[in-house]
Amino acid sequence: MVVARPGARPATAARMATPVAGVSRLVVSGVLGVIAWILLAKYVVANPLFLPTPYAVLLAAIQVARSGELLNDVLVSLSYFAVGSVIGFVGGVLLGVLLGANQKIADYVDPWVSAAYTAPLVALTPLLIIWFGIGLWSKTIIIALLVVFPVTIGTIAGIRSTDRSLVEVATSFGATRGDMLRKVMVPWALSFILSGARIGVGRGVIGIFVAELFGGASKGVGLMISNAGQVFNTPLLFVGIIVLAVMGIGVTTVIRFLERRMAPWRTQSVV
Amino acid sequence: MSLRVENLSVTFARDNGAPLAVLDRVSFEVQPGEFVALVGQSGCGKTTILRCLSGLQPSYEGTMTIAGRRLTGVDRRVAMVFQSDSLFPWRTVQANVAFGLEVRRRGKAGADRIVQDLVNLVGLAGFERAYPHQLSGGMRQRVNLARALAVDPDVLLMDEPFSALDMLTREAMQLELLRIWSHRRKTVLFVTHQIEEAVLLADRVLLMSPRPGRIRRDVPVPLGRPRASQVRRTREFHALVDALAEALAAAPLDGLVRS
Repeated sequence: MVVARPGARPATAARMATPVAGVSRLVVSGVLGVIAWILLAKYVVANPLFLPTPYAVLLAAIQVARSGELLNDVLVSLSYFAVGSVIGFVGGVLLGVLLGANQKIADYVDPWVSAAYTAPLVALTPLLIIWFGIGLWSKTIIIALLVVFPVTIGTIAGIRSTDRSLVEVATSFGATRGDMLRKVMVPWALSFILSGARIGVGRGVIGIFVAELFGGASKGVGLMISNAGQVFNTPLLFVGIIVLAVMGIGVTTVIRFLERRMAPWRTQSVV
Repeated sequence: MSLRVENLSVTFARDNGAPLAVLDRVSFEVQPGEFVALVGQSGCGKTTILRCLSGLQPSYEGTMTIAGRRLTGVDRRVAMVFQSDSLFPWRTVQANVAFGLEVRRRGKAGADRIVQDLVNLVGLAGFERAYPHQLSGGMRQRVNLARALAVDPDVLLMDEPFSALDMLTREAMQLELLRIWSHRRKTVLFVTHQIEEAVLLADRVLLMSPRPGRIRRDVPVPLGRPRASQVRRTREFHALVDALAEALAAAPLDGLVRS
């Protein structure tokens, strides 16, 4: 009868074996990438203006880091990125629950959500600057717009895919509509919601650059990149891109971790 | 509480327009504290009867009463043990058992006591904080049973709860169910397609004909209680199983001609 012990997690145990191999492959992949970059920069391109070596990029990074500029830029970008992402995430969940649970409203609104998801919303940046000024608000809003629709779509997919038999269990116990949402559909949809958030945040990182490019900001990583590009400071341009990439990877990793923590019964990400 | 079903008929609308009669004037009664098994082939409408009783079937004809009071829609006097265990994967054993109590707004303090007693009764003490994906199929069905018992229903409906289990686990769970039932003597309506299972568990077996489902035979099971696994090897047991199998085998032709 006793097949599993409490606390024993067969699925997790299987997953634990992979990261060890995964981490060593990640290290190898990183080292190979840097070697390829060095060879490409030194012998193929052989022009630091076109492609700097990793060493030059590192020097540039140390320089902006020492002067405190980098930290300042990162903090400014991160502040509106975080606020925009949170607004987008909350809005996406609310909209997704509304549309996922009400077929009638969804019939009216779904096409617009799909359109907004596919449309290049970053192109709205100049317009948002006219509406909200060149301050942090227009940037926050563009990030929120980039995050909200993937989260909405993830939430809708999650709510609609709720296991029918679980809905029937809840119904047979007399669950109200609120119970059904809070105790069945939203918990079921959680990993779909987080997958949507992962995609949204990825888009948001691109938004940082575009928003600051148009935004006439005085500080920020995006501005740092565009300034470096204008004066052909290629190493600094690379520093900026790498910083954005690291921010993106950082947030994505945290969300992946949450997905696993909160839905341990799913062995794979849903998206 | 006695459960009474009178002239229950269910017809499904089909895409091609021709209605499909699933149940045809099904009538039967289950006495208070009685264990009745509904036996029939897949598709004979056994599950549909349970869905009507638990309020999951929106349209039907006929009347259903418990202790003389009619059932209309979801009713607090009824609880269902579902076929697939249908546990909430994000809830621990404890929280799954507590689900019905939460939804029915039972106070937390009283609920904790009820939940712990049931977890102990179904033999899952020590697993309170385990998640369904960490449990075996048999253990999940124990949780499923405890979840239904937690709301203290007058009538317990069970829809082929052991059909997905391997044979050894299944036989162990049948005896476990008898033990648990001896402690919580509910009126039980148990759906199965396995005649041995029905005979081992029930006081009475209702045999159903295939679509449209009707009650063909109402057969008492004169085996004494408590029943242990040895009952399966007695002559009365086999005689009864054989007789029921024969009666059931006579039924399908009837249904085939009709459809």
